[in-house]
Amino acid sequence: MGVEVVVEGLSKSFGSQAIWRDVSLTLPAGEISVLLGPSGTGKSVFLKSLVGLLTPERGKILINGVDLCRCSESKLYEIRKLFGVLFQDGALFGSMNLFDNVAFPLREHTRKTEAEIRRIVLEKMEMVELVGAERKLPGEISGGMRKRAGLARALVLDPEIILCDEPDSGLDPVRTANLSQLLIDLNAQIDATILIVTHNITVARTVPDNLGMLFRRELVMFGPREMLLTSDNPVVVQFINGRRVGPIGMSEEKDQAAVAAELAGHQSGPPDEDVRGIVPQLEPTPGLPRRQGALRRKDRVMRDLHALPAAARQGVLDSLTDEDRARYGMLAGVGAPVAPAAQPVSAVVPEWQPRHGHLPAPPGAAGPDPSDQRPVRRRGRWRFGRGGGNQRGGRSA
Amino acid sequence: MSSPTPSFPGAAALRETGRLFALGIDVGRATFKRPFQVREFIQQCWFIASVTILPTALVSIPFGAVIALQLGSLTKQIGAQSFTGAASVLAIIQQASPIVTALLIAGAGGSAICADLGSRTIREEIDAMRVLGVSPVQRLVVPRVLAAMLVGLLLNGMVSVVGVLGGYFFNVVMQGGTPGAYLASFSALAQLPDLWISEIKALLFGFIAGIVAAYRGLNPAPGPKGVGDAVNQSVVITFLLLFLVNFVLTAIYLQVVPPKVS
Ligand SMILES: Nc1ncnc2c1ncn2[C@@H]1O[C@H](COP(=O)(O)OP(=O)(O)OP(=O)(O)O)[C@@H](O)[C@H]1O
Ligand SMILES: [Mg+2]
Repeated sequence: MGVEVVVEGLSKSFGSQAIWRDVSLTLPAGEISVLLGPSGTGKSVFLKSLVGLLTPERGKILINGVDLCRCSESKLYEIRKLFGVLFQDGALFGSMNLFDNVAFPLREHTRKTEAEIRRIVLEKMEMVELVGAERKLPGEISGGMRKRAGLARALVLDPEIILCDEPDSGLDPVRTANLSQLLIDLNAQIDATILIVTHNITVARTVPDNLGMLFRRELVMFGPREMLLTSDNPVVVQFINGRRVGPIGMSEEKDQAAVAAELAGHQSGPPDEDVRGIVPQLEPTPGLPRRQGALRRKDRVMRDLHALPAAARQGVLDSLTDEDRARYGMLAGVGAPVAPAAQPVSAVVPEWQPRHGHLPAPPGAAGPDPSDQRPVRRRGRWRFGRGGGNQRGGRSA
Repeated sequence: MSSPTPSFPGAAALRETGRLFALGIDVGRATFKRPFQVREFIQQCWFIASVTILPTALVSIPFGAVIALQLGSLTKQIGAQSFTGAASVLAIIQQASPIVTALLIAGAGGSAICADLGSRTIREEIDAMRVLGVSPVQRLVVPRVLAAMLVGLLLNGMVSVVGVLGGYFFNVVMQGGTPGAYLASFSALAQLPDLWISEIKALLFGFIAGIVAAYRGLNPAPGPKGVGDAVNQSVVITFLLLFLVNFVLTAIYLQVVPPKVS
């Protein structure tokens, strides 16, 4: 199971420039979270703080009970082994070809033979559709390819926490869709805690369990996806709909006069449609286990349902299946839960586990009927085979 | 960790110096950490040697010649021609060759190291390496610093030989000195510790050049211009430090080791 990341009262500034202040949030174990925010609000800085590359002035980042901001260098290196990080520009090693780049963590942290390394690397390369480019240098491939190679490298040690800085920028729409599916499948299989920074609204609406938004040096909101997707907060509404009119301006700090003028006057540009609202979340590819993170999240959200705004609450309730309703002791169609799931989560979870257990079916083995063949094969290429499943054991060596 | 930073004149310089020392200590400690990056070390040795050997040889011949010419005419005036060889050997081995070595290690090797690490830093490769749980100091800086030291040592030997040969050539062939006197005076004034101090200097200069280059390379101002500036600064800082250290070492040496002829 993934690891919970707790951030408390974090503040970071460069010299006199405050980037963000007093950010508190919890990335629940094994769930997928997305962080939104206009360009330059410090999302990348936040990710770098989470892995201890930058040191915030105030606040705590707790992982397994260790405060990353105040632990020793060696402890930090120890904890970093839990992470897989995709940097905004891929951050591949320019002097190594793609194969060596992806193999780097394996060679550094495991005692695998070259044959094993080769098998694992090729598997990851296939997963991100880079087969055939192994011998190329990072300088010789496109930005989107670099990004995918960076992702392959981040995943090669089966990390427990995955941080992705704009995994979708520079990717075409089809690959972005594949990527979204990949992240969901990955989460279903290794139950890793995932945090994605993105500007892509489709990804933000369909992938995460939790959504957050940074704006004007603050965390505007962080919570279950329903909360942001139904929010009335003008910043969130403007961002999600990609509108020009609103508090977010070119210079990030629009002055009040400009906002007032906009609201009063001209509405130029294409007609505006409101794309808010809750859309169904992506499901793992058929044949994979259910996402334990999603199940835990459902329990959590149902427990704290009363704390959500009305629209979000309605959204949560609408998304429940009949099975869920029965589980949370609700009569179909009736508003509030009769008996909230107050029982400890651990007592409940087993009944939710898929009948065939944790182990993912080997790719292809759980193939559906032939009529379904084509689309599944496409997705299969992105499927995360857990071939090198025993890597974690070797890592400490 | 980053407590409110004090700001008084010179605070920034002090802070940078402190960090430079910290990196030096880190490198010292990481040197003994397994696994040692043998391949990187050999590659770096080869690289630094390849960019420094030819210029060093080309610089040291005229350098040896200048010293020989100068001393030749000087000793002629005071009637101590028989000591020309010894004096030029002393001058070359003790002073000229470590300095020439240092200039080339810093100017050719250090600038290359700094540019390499700097561009890796702004491409976030260094960050990526840290996140992958690999210390860039151990992985990248240690092999480079050790390579700079080793190559410095070897270059120093080379400069000494080439410089002495150049001195011999100019003294004997151009100024009509006698080969016998030149060689005989070798052992009259020069002694083994002269060679030791020369090699110790070269080793230390290689270390300083490597550390300064790595430090500036790992902490450039953002952007490609930052890397350019970092390279520039690293060379200037190294030169300043090297001449200072050279002065201190020479002063100590002259105090500690008694001259052969007194
Ligand atoms: N090393 C640094 N030194 C000084 N300022 C920095 C540094 N890194 C980032 N900043 C500043 O922090 C702010 C946030 O940068 P960041 O890269 O986190 O933005 P972002 O939210 O990731 O934007 P984008 O969506 O465009 O990637 C910027 O104003 C930038 O100038
Ligand atoms: Mg960014």
